[in-house]
Amino acid sequence: MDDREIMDALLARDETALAALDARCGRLCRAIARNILGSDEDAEECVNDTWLRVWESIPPAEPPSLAAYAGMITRRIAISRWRARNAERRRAAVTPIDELDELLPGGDEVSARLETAELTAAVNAFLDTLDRDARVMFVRRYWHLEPIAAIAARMDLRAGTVRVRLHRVRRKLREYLERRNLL
Amino acid sequence: MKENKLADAIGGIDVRFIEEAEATAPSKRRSPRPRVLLAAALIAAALIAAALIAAAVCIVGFTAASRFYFAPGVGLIDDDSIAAPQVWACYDEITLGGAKIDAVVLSEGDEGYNLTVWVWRGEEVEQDPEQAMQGIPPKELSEFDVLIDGVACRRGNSHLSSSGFSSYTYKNVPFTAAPTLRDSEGNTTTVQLKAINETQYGYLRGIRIAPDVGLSLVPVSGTENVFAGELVDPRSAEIGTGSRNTYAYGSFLVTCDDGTVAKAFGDIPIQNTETIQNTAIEITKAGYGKGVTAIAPYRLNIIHTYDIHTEGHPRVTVTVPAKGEGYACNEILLDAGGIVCRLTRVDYGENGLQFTVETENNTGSPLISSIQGYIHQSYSMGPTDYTYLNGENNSHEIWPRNVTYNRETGTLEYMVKGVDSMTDGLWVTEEAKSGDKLVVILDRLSYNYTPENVGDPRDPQAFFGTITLK
Repeated sequence: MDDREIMDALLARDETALAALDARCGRLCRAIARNILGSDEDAEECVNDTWLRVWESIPPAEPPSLAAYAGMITRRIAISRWRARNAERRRAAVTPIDELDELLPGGDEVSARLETAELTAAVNAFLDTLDRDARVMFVRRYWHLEPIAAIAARMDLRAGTVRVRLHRVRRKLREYLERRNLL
Repeated sequence: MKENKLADAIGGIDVRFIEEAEATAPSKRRSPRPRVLLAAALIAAALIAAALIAAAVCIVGFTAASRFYFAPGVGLIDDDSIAAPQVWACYDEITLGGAKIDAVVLSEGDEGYNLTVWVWRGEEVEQDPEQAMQGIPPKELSEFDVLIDGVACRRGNSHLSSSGFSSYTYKNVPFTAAPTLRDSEGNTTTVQLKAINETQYGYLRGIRIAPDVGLSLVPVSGTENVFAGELVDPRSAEIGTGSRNTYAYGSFLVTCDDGTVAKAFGDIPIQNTETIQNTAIEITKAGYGKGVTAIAPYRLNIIHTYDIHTEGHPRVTVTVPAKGEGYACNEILLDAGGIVCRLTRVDYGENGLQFTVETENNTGSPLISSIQGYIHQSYSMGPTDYTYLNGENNSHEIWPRNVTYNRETGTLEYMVKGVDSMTDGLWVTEEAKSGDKLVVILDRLSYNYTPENVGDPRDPQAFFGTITLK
């Protein structure tokens, strides 16, 4: 089934859509979940929850891209689980979420005055200002939550180069958001 | 466990970005290159910030007087201060190839006329993903030529937004009432412009932010809630001398025709400065699909970013003190437009270098509610010959203190732990050494026009005024 056929099946409440969804988007969603949770078992649970959310939300939702939609749900579930798990223990490793938390402090005041939609619009506009490589690095790191080493391998770059370029992109993003009084 | 919305916000980014990243397939590794030290050391640096505040109290009057014109490339026009230029416009919906053009406006400029074309690019999301991955823009994003008497004009600034609109500005063109637009595929259409005035277009209105500062907004689409705006701020021309970039950013509340209130925000070009980057912007997604009856700005933030290589921009050389020691100094980092930023102290504490900057607001404008200066770059003159500030690691939000009205002196402190340098993938932290020479410049200056007590933007007292559109 292609995206359209899967969508039609979901809209018709045809449960075969779920198997097709897994075949179509499972690899992406498992990778995202594994990137942030670090465990195949946790990732599998996360992906199963994703299919349930997709089933519950379509209809009425009719996303333009199933993979992006499913990936977004997986990402949200995985981050939520990661935060819950790590609230109880200290970690040594730096994850993409740590990097984002550092970029945008999570104080009550800041969080309260920001609307996610407004922030998303600003991030979209910011991504449009980046060159393609930088944009791909950013998305793979902070949307796919991919390890630095994997991004470096994908883009044929050294890990250090990716780390530095991401560092600069985060700095630019911070400045960009500051200019808009979003930080 | 703290949470922030940035991770959530990134989760909702446009599908095209995700598809682009997905299309980047894993590649084979190149054979290992010799390990080379990239640059010796990066540097130290510092930031600072400064700030102050003011008490500025009153909302200096506002007006929705019909005397104000919006003129792309010119700004807010006030009959009382300068002669209003004539404006010609076409607000009919025009189709050119696959693009929908919502407005074409011609206005008098300093050395000719300025022509701005607003283009709807909302169909971009339906772009062929394969073409997008190959970097082929959709038709809605294609470049435009303007032909006047058959001669193509040089395009000036363009502004692409996430809200679906793009604007293209052609500066200093000859007069025409019938410009021809030509897209990159060779499609052409000739637009008939009509002279307009405030009696014909009552919505061409502006608002006075301060005695010499004005903001104008105008709808550029009859069907979408998109507004172009320009801010006239003569002070900015003085402060912006030597800067490489100037931004103005506004936050607004809009009143929708069903009575609900929505937030809007957008970049605003500044007139009267050589550093202008854009000549038109839109207040994005105002009203969230509903009709908009009024717009009220409640915060205007202006930022000048300085070019470290610009001659004449003040540079201050400081000597790194011994650990635990410091010294007072009095070095001017900026003195322009009534705003002074001064480096007053250098300390080397346990956490690293600490710079103290004081800012003064002598502009006389009661509505400049805060000023922040940032030292963002510093050069090492010691054994390390290339440096730059690791601004992100060192950026701390610091608020002004010791505030007094109309001569605001604030102190901002910025801690620099050491020198972060990268050598072929390895991060090295290097302490600044006593006796090292650092050249410090002001990298950024921002100031806010914000009425007092803007904590709740829904408080009517928080606004400069309201621009009524209908």
